[in-house]
Amino acid sequence: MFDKEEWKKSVSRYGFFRNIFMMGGLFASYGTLAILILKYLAPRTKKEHETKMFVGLTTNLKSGSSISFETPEGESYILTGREDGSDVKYIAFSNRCPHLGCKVIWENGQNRFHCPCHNGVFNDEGIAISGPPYKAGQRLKKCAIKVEDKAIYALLT
Amino acid sequence: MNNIKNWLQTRFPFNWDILKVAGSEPVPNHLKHWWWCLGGTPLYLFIVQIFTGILLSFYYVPGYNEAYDSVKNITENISYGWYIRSLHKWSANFMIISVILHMMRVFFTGSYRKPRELNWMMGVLLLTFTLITGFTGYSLIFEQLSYWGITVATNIMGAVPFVGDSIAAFIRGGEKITQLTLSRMFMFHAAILPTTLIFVIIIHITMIRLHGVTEFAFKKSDRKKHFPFYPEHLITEIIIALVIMIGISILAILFPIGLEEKANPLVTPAHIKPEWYFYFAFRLLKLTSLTASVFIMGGGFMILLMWPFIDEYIRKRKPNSELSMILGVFGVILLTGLTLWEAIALFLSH
Amino acid sequence: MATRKKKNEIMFEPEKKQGKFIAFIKEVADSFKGENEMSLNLKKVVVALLSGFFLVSLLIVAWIEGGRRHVLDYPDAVITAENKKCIDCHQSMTPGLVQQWKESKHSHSGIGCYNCHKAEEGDIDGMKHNGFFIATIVSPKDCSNCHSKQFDEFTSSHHASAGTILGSLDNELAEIVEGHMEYDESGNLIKGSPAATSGCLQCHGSQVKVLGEGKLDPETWPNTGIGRINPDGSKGSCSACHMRHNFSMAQARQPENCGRCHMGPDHPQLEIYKESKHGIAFEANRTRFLKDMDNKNWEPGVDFESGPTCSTCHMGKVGDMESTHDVGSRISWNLRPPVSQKIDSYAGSKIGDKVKSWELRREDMKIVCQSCHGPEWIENWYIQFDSFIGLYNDKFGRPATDLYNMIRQNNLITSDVTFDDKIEFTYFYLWHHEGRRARHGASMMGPDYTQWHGMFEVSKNFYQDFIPELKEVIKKGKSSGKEVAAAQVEQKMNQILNSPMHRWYIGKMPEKEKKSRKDARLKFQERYAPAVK
Repeated sequence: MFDKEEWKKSVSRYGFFRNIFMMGGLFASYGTLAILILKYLAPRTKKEHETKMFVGLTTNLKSGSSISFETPEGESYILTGREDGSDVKYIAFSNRCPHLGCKVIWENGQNRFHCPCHNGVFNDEGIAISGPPYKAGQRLKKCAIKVEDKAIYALLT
Repeated sequence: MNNIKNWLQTRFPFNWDILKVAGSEPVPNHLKHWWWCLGGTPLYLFIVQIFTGILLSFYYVPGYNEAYDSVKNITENISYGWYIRSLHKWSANFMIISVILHMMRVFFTGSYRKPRELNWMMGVLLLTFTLITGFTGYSLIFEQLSYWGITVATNIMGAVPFVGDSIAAFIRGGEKITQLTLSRMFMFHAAILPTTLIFVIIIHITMIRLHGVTEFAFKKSDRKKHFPFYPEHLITEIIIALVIMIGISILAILFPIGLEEKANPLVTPAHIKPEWYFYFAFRLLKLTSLTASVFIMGGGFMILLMWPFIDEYIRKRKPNSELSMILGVFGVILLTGLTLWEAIALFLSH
Repeated sequence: MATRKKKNEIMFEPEKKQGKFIAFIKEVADSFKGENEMSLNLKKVVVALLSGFFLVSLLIVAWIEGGRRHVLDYPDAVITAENKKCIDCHQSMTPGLVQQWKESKHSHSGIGCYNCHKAEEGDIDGMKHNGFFIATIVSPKDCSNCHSKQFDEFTSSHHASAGTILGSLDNELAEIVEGHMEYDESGNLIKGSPAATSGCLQCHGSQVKVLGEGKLDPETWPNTGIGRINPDGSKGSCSACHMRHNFSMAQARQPENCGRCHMGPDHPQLEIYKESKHGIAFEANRTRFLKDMDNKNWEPGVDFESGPTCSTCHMGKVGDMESTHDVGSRISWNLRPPVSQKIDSYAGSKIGDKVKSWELRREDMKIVCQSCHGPEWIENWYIQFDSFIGLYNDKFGRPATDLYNMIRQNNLITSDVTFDDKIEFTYFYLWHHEGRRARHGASMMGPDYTQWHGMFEVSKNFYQDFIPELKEVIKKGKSSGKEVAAAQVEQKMNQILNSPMHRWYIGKMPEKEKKSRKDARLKFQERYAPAVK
């Protein structure tokens, strides 16, 4: 089917360019089509409007107390307010223990998250400090929080 | 390099020389004429359909309540969704047109005669399956005309004697159009029919190769002349493929496929109509009764299927008769006429 | 291998460049005629060219796709877990309501049904509903959880006290004159006046009564009057202007929104606005403005250039001056009573413990005017405005009121009920309808309302109806044993009619003035056909 010697003999300088343009053209056009198809298959994950979800009011969330909320996708988080000088910082950590998925509980008195299933313990930054999650170097997933006036929003995108 | 080749050859002992033979298959000179490339066109379009169809099925949901919205999502939200969908629809239209043109070419050049009768019948099957694929595909959108199209089609099926009602129930997955209907349509359109088509296409092409291509001579110099499949004919095919891609791409840009109203079982649209390739049947229905149409269409299909044998009989009875050609022309005029009649009637009624 | 004709090699020789293109076209055309097949080299070139076209078509596709982006960016409604149950049912029961919510900014932040309708234990209008404890009415206090600034401003405004009209003349009209109330033996109200329920209170606001288990008394609800007195004690209804459940700012800024109440024969602010240049400008540009009217602020000179609406001047942010929900905060005159006064202590708008003076309010309004008008324009206009109100007050408002009060106090007409004597309707029309129309017309630059719907009718009322009817009352008083009181009234009336503003009526126009009037009239008739000699 493909005789290298014959081919070498028959190709001239112009023939070389002909081949290049032909192959290049095919490559460029079908390649572009392939790129468009890839874009089609991978929908944009970054929405241009930030999607936020109302969680609570700063007036309702005193330092130390918490509000738990669930995103429309079904992930649940705990929102706590923490004193940061004169300000209050709001952080939301996932309820779900990264070890095997049990629900962690925020223990205000001990300033820690505790997972009752296998005694995993996380500090107030969500980093595991004891138990199986600590051994695996895991941490609690965080949810981005935005505060506007008195309203606390969870950022979904 | 050679070590790798040996390593592979030990484990995959394929005789690559076969491909050399296949590649150097002499193609009769007359295939340099574009009119003869009408067989490859539907094949290429079929490949386009498979690709775009798979892409569409990434986002299409065959659920009774979700289907329409998923198509809307593809058309409006997904990046390039409108383009892929429009390619798919236009490609479908052209596939059907090119299959019909190819059939006409085969018919009017008598290429169905012995020993190629079975191949002709395979071709008729391919036409039938293509049309059904078109029908099932359109049903998936679940627009008003999809829903009511299924209703009308199953009613016609139901008029077939003896087995009609069973066929209708089989298509619908019950007595009414439900989720089961849609699931069936999806399975037929996306799995069963494409696989069947691939299978029959393979048989079709194999038979062509086995029989060899009839040598045709436009000029005396053509006779006994051949040219190799690679690279000449391959490049011809590439050119055709590119022309097709440009064509459907431009059509997708200029006439992107939209969306009509969502299917509503409670509201019959003012103008029910099938896809254009069924216009002839629709017009026939309006001219005659349901039973008569079913019989006429059934009969027509049988004539088409068994045509090589009918033609043989005609030629046996009356050699050098032009009757086959005349019947062919008559058939084309009849079907085109019915299609145009319906199209014009629909255009005027809006 | 390939059968390449020799002539193809020649085709691509550089010397024969001129013939190359024509030969190319010729060869392509020939291949269609079926005479000479296209050579392989030519085919390769054709492939290259066609690939180019295909690529171009794909680039057009990409360009179209790029232009489609913004259509996809509309944020969706975020349905949280606690609201999902409400939505699922109400989607089929009240689909319009759910769709309204989905259009609202609330839904984009996941603020849904339960966030607002949730009731606390102890709320008298709370009720159990499919596993939730909710209240139908979402009062300003509920809204104030997030919108506290607007709540504070609104509550201190006159809008919030619109529902406390009990005892006003209008109230009497609705309940006694037009409508009917039923009382039991102890004097408790058992049935209110439908005229009030469906009429007055729909704008002013009812006092919502809870019948128990969250059910609301139909005499008092549905009602989104702006001064509604809610079960939780808060005053007002945010949805009077911010219609639920879209709560669209653009909708709230439309003049027709205020015009639901601020229209009609007794205070045609909407009609006056539409007559005015402000209204004309807005109407001309309305469609263009609509998109921006949903912004947080809609500032003249920033978001639009001409055609302010009600909220622009009376509420909106202008430059450094923040927006306010206290609609009286920039109003200097009180045009409501029989005799207009500058807004004072009972208007409610306070800075700290002090009432905001009318001067400060006027200054604030002038800040808005300055967006488009120069200082001399503004100063002169206010002088015009003040003069007009002064004229009304001095010529008609005060005199008629003094006379009216006199005949009531002296019992020349029944004083324990109003509207049973003809002159009471006449007087009411004079200040409440015609007088207000005139004053409002002047305040918002609607000259036709100022004049023909306004002062013309005030003066006609005064001279054609009020004074003659007063004379009747005096006559009746004299013949029914109340000569002293009647004489007092008569004296007062004559005093008024002999004053410079009214003496023309009794033929006491000074001669000089009469002559100059006559001269002007003759000159006028010279220009146009003589009508009256």
